[in-house]
Amino acid sequence: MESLNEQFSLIYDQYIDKIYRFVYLKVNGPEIAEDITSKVFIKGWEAFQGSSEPIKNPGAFLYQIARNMVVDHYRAQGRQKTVSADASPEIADPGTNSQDKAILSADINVVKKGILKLKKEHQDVIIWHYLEDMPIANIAELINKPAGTVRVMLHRGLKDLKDIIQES
Amino acid sequence: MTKITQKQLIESLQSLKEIKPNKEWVVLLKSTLLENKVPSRMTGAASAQKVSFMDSFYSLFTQRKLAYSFAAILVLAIGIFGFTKLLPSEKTSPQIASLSSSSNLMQNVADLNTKISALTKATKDSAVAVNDINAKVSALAKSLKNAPVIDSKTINEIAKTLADVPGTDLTASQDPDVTIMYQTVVKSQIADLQKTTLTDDQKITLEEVKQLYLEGKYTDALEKILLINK
Repeated sequence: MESLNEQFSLIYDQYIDKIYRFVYLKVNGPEIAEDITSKVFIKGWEAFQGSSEPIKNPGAFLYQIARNMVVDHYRAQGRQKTVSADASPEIADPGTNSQDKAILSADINVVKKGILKLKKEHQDVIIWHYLEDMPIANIAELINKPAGTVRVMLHRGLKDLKDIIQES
Repeated sequence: MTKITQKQLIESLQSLKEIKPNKEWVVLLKSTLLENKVPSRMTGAASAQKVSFMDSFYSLFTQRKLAYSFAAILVLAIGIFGFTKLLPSEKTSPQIASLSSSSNLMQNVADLNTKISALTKATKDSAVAVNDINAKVSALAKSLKNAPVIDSKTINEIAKTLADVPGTDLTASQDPDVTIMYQTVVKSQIADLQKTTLTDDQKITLEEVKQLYLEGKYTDALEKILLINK
């Protein structure tokens, strides 16, 4: 049991920021992101404890839970993509001065707004690949699609995002 | 952002890495998940100090010796409180005693009245009757002694009762309580008469009463007082 704790502790440390960020970019505000991320890790920990075999790809497993949780969240809210980007994101950069921080925060808001206007499948691959540096092969495995399809999705997603941001 | 290159867009996407969860929340969630406990929201030095203080405070009460001492003090305090509640307080106890003595006194006066009226009707000069009356008067005197505070109404009642005792000098008895009772009654009656408006004759009689009182002839003084009151 102790070893399970230690193992999941490592997984937690490795993925907490990524899962939070992934959720945060898809929902309204940090509180909702925290709430959903908590549920993701609780479910992940339960699955981790109950599983007879070790989970091969914990990252993919947690992302999958997170995707489903976000869908459930919007289903519960009665809306799919009506997301406000008014809430300022938390920027953990103590070295940045307030002016830079404001500019950075403004850029982040613009990008976040743009991401939220993308198709859901494009959102995920863009975040995973460009933000979390996930290799295309892993994304392909995660969404159960060929690598070529992932490349196309990335290309189209990036183009759409560019257009959205330029129009804003 | 009007025109943006793909490189700039990717850099902007990379900047989203700055988004990070609250550190306190991260620690809280982890401890909740893995340690099955819900720590306080506070973190850092303040939290450590708080926990340390609470721990030491709690540990104080879990030490056996201190716990037993505390329990003993608690039991003692409850005992003292209960005992003080059972005891009559300083304010109430004299009243209770006084009431008890007064009621006893009035009962003796009533008894004496009954006995006198009954005996005067039946055997006016009987020695047995006189002895019985003497006994009742002694009882009344003792009651009066035990009830030092008596209102003038009660004194008047006693005075009338004593005056009704037929042809016997009760002060002749060797009971000092009876003498004191007569003295008290006469003194009180003199004081009452001095406060009231008297005729010239009554004033003369009152002076005689005072003289008899000074001579210790309380029964004679009482008879004269009753003459004034009539």
